[in-house]
Amino acid sequence: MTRPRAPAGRTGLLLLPPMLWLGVAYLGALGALFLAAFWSTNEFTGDLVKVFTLDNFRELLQAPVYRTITLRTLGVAVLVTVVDAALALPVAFFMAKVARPGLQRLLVIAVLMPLWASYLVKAYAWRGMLSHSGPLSWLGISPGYGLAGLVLTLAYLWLPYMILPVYAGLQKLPDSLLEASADLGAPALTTFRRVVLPSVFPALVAGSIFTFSLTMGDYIAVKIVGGPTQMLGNVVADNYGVANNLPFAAAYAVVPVLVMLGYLAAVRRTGALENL
Amino acid sequence: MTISARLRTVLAACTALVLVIVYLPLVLVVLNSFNVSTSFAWPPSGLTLRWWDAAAHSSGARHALLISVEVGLLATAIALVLGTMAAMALQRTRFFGRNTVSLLIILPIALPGIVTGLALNNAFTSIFGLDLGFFTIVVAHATFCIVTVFNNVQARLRRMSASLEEASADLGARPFMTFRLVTFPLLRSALLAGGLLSFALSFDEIIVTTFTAGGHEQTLPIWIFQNLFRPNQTPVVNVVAAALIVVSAVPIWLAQRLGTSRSAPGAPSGTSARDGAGVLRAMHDRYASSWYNTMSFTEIAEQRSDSGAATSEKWYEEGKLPGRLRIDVGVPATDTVTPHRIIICANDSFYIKVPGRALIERAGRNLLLVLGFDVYKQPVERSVAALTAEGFDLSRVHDDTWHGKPVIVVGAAAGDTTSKQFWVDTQRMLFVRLLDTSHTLLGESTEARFDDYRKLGGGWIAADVHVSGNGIVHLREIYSDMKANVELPDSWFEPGTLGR
Amino acid sequence: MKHSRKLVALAAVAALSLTVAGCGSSDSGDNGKKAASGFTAPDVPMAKKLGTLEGAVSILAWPGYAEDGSNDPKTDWVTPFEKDTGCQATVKYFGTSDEAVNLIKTGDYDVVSASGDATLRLIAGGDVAPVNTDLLTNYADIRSFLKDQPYNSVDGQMYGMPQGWGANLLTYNPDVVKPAPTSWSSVFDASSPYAGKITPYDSPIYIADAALYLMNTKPDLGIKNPYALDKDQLAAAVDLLKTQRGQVSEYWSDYLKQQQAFESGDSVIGTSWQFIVNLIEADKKPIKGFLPDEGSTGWSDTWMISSKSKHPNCAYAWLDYIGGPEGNAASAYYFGEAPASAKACDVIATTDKDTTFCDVFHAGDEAYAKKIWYWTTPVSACLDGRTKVKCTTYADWTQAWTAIKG
Repeated sequence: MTRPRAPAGRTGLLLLPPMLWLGVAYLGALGALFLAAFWSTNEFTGDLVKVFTLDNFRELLQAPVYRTITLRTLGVAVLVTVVDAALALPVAFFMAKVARPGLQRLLVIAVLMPLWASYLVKAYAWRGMLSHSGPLSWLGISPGYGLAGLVLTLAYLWLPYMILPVYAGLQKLPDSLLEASADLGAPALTTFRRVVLPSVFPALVAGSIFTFSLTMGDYIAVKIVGGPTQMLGNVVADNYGVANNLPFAAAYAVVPVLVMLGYLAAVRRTGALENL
Repeated sequence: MTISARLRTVLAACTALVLVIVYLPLVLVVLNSFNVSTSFAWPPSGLTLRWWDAAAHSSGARHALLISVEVGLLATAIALVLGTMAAMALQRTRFFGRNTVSLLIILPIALPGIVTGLALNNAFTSIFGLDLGFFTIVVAHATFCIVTVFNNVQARLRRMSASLEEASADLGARPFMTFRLVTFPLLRSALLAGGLLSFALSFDEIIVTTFTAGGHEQTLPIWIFQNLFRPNQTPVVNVVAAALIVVSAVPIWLAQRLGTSRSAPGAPSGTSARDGAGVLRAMHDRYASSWYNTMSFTEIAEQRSDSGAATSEKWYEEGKLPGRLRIDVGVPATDTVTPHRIIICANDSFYIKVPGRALIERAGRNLLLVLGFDVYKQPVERSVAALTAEGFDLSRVHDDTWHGKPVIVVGAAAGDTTSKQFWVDTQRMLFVRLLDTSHTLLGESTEARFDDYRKLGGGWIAADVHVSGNGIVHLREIYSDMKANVELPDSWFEPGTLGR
Repeated sequence: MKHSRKLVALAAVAALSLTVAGCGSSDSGDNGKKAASGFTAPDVPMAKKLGTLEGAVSILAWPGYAEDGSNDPKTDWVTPFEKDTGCQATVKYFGTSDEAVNLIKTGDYDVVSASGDATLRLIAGGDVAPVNTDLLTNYADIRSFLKDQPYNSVDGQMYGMPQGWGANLLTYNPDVVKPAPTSWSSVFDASSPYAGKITPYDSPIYIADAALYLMNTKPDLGIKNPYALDKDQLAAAVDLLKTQRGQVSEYWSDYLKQQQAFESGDSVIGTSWQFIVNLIEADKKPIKGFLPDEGSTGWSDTWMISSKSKHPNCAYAWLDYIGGPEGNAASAYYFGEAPASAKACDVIATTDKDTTFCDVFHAGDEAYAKKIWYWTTPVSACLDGRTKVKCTTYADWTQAWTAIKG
């Protein structure tokens, strides 16, 4: 297989502007942020004190509440991912393998349209649904604002981000494989478990990158439907925007970055990154 | 198909249920935009158009909408340029930091928005001392939009043959000219898909925007956020949201049209589901309702063996699609008196009756029949199964040109001319070339070509067929007297009628 | 760090002098002046005279302090100001004092209505400028016990125009909460019948409310001032709040969210402001708010001018207007607090035809004003005068608040 080698100079020239933008500006901004994690603020005036200190990280590790919040956020992220995967699989399978081409196109449009409805409005609509005087209370279900409502709302919000990669992944699955499996006598569930699932796994992981990342950093939907719940994003946002404690916010922001970097490294091998 | 009817119903029911759940809150939003009461009272006490009127007059909403559109367009433009550049740089070369660069591009969208927002805010205000405003919003948005363009372009570039750019360079075009005249037209739909997704991402983004907008500029999501809880404004917000949902159908439908049989361009991915099955599906869908069911034609068949010896015969052919073909050599099928050679293709087998000899039956599909005719008249799954069984790797697909026209090649990656592959003209979705080193097709053949397509019935027929190998054209067929949808008795295609 | 602790200690002593001296006139500030003399505010220039109005002013306000008609077209005292002065006003609301401090630091705003737990932080941080009261024609009519207070002045130098003062109210839905509550115990009760529907204020300063409750119910803890808590007293307050957390529907800082929660029935009892009660009443939903006998925390607000103000002349114009009889009457009446301007009561009596308003809110009653525990920034030098122990600071309270919410 011949692949032409573009002159190194040209590659460099092509790469320079994007790399300047992302590498220098974005990475630089991230670096500056984490540098600030080693500073502190004057308690009284709120001004930055640019003196190296490990106090922020010490506080993070010692006070149990931050561990609790981190674990809670991770737990919610996992739950949301599982719920979304469970909902996305049958829908995507139907779209990719069962629906006629015309219906398929309609379904894709139907899945995409809610993405254009404002995230805020959707969260607020769920606030209304979860309220004690909302429509769900008619059915006797009125969870109120809290963790359960939060998981439901987040799963709802991120569902299209899971359906689309899984749909794309299932389209690549040759029908003949399914046929072959049936010919060999496997019932549908076995075919699903041993043929479909392994091949659609990278797509599921790709979708999970979104659900994880979006949940780890969310602080707005939490405020709208979460009641008194605190998530990682809230602590960061509040420390920055309210307590004016940028160093501590930056220190706590290290946690989701580490989680996502670790996650990305772990899933690189599954090939999910190609499916993004 | 393995999917039983019961499973189908279950899947359909699941899909319907999920769609209902997805749209229920949106329906509530739309309903509330007509609700007389300003709080989320249920059930609505009355309906009114008041809020739609107020929204139309709301200068705050209009201004915010304008800002959002401007930011989206600018950020998308920047992302298109930078994303394409990065994709092109990464595609054509292998170099040390390739994976790192890929990771770097994904990072702004993989890291939670609050981290990106916080970092950029800190950088803008503390390091650069900038005032937060329109410019900073655009910079922030462009940063996480680059990845969507990058993915789409990268996926398209992977399937493009590099030989085009090589050829252009050989002809003396400088790199930018090559890009402008060769690469860019082929990238166009990928750019459009990536651009649409990038705009959508930017349009609805709230978290990073809150950190980088400062106090003065309002994008639409920020305006919504500030008015969300105001009792007098909530219905107006609902109106804006309802309008957005309805209007969004247009760009989404547009994106779908672009993709056609390929992918879901609105997907967060750029990699399309396009593969051999997709190509066959596209061919099938194009003509399924119109292609003829039967055809008949006469042809002059010139055969040449490897030694050079040549013969010329007149063949009378009929086809009943899918899957059945009959060739009468020398005299037409209606002549049941004169002994002559008859070949029937049916049941995925060849049946050859030479006068005075026993009937020869050989298993094997007539690939030209499958690719040139059956694909339009049988379910796609059968075509896929047949070609897969014949050893075509349907997952490998790339773009190329043939006689100056764009084609899709199924079964081989760019530059590979030895794997089994078939070439399809993309403008008309017609089979034009087959490369097959293993299959015995009337001799040791390696290449078959369908040229000189003519319209026939609701479809096409190639009036000039070459089958060649080792540089020698072993078979050349020139068609004439072509008819479509003629009445043909089934008995003509029954091997049993050939006797023993 | 040491230097700022000294600042803080001296500021604390200054605050102490207010509660101990018990006398409100500006001259009694002998005590105040002396105590405050050690406090060195950064050198921020003060305007000497007024120039031409710039045509715009950016206002950072508690919700309800600067209504421009967008909430309710009939409630608007910003537009008359704009017409008079030509200064086009943009108003931004904030939910807590922390947010206010944060936003002022951006330099995007000209004036801010700061409560006592924000004012000294702003002054010490150089974020607000000293105010030349000679340039404010209506300053003379401000009630004397609000002038030159330790929380709005340093060394006899005023840093703003007083707006008004009031208390945090115990608010409840009378249709659901029966019998009518009489004490804060209704929100601190460990097994409240309204579990899951209690709504406390979302700010670390709310710890003072718990401390106030403990001050009355658990005297052996020795709490004398809800803002002066040593480690053990803070721990007790935190425990009380953690118990309450299990019964909370939502912590609120966005007044609109609380209004919606009360109206939809998701919250039935909690801490709120008169202005929010008014809004809910206007929506014809059941609500009642009152000040329990045992007392409450509250706030005394001052309009301050940002040191980075881009429109200083319009800023002075706003201060003069909002502290003047019409502006102060309109805002105090709408918000539901005691107005700082003595002339405002006359305006309320005639224009709003409410002759009892100022009496209800004890507008001129200095002694009553002293009963409310105004928001103050807790500092390590105990505000109740104890010298043997170190009190917890606002930073400690902030950390505790995160732990309380869990």
